[in-house]
Amino acid sequence: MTFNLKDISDDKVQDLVREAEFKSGKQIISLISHEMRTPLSIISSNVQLLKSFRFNLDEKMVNDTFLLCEEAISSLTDFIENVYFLNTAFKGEVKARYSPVDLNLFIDEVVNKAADSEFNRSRIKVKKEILMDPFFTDRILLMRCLDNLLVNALNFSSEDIQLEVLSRENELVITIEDQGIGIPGEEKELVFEPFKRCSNVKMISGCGIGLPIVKICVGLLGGSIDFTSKLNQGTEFIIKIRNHEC
Amino acid sequence: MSAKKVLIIEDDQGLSRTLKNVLTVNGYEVQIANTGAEGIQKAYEYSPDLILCDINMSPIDGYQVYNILNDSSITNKIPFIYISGKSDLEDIRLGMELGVDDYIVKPFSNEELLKSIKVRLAKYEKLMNAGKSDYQALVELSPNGIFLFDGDTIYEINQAFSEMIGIESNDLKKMNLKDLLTDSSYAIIQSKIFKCSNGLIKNFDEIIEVTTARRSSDQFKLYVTTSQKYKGFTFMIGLLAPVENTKSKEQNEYDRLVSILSEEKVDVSGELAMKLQKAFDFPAVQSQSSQKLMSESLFSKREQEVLKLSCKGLPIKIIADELSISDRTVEKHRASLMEKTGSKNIVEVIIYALKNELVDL
Repeated sequence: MTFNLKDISDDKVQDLVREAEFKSGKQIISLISHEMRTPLSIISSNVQLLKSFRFNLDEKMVNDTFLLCEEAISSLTDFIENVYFLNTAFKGEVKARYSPVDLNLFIDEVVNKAADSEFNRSRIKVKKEILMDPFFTDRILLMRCLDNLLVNALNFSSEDIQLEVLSRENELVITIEDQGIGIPGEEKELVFEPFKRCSNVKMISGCGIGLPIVKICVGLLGGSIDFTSKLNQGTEFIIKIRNHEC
Repeated sequence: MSAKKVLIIEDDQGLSRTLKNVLTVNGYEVQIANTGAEGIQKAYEYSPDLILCDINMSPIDGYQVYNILNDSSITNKIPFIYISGKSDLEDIRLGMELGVDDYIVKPFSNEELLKSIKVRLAKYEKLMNAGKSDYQALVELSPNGIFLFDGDTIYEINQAFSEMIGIESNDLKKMNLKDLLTDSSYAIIQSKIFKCSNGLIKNFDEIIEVTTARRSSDQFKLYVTTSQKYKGFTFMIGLLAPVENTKSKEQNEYDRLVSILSEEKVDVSGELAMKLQKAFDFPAVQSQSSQKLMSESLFSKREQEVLKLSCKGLPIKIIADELSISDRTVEKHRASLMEKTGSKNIVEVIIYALKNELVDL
């Protein structure tokens, strides 16, 4: 049950609530604008480069410039989509649509999407134990969920990442383990709250929407999420999802 | 002129590659560091002319990178420009208070970035050159010989050095230190130079003999200190000063008096010179025994006794009582003392005696 401060008919409390809302709103806007600045800089700087040299650059440089723009645009698009998803999910407008998914192909696709470079692709160590029959779930929601977890693991760790996929008759168990910076014990409650960032990641880009989205997706898929984490040693997320055929 | 080197410290690889491309096509040489720690390491290894640094990095952020580099005399002069998404005034202020040279907010215009880099580089170069020319002037104006050498070969010298040794500067630069010193002098300093070049001692000084062009050998005082290490060589700076004046106190006083008199247009020669010299009594380096000998040969026993008591400030009557002689006899001895020392009165005699340490008080 949630306790709504607005129910209290006290002007002072009302003022405090408005102030807090304004502050958190300001903070969210600041986080979002900050998150968008780096990809925007990349696009802007590369376009200026092409413009000032009228494409009169060697071919490798021109290709690199386009590639950098494309990468930045796709990271911006992902970000906007995540914010949009969070908003619609909060309004209760997202519904799961189940269909059969070939888990083997699906997992490859997830890994390729999450790893933005060849180097990162090689850092994800996949272990699959998958039944032949297709698994019934919402592939878009599951994709969004796993993508966010993998990107987090890549960002907050410099070592390899273990992705373990185990499919059973009626359940899919996915484990993602990293040896990264970990989640501080006293902040474990906060990680699924949107726009809350742990104290040890303040200096890493991000705005605190990844794990809330993961939690929403898992909820919509009728599953559960759990994690264990040790500061500066690593974090392990375990997701269990029900097969919707049965 | 060789390309200026820029080090980019940025954890977003897309942005660092973009910056590298922009700078490379504009004629800069670029190195990339993906973390703060790597950035600090490369700042030392690569010795860039300018550093572009992101603020939001983990675990070492841009502020820490700046502070660490600012602590070292090797890296603290490199112009430092922050690139950050933080546009809040508070953050800009913090960066500037730390002392960074400039602050560029993402997204930026390439032109603005290039202009900032150009301005900082020019300022840096001016600063370096100003420092260099001041230093150069100081070295050139020094009355002492200054030279840069690696323990053996002499690389740089100032004018004074060449004048002291009496060899043309161009010829000197091809010579080894060993060639300039007498063998015995070189043997003395050889091990000390070795210790300096291996960091066992920081500096030393030694009296050495230099084989100059004018005379067979001249004595100088040599001060050597380690300067800097470069590719395994240790450069040392040597300072060559004339050996300190060994003239006695008396001779110095005499010289000063002569120069004062000559300023007053008094020519110190003939009788006056004789008198002065006698007054200052050369040779001046005298041992205790020679002083006594001199006073004994100059004055009779009675005269010495009178002189001694007069120096104690006693009046004639007391001296007469002390020596059991008449007042008149005391006066006679005093007159004799005045005559022998060329003094007009007894006060001058006393001054003469004290100056020449003829009496023990």
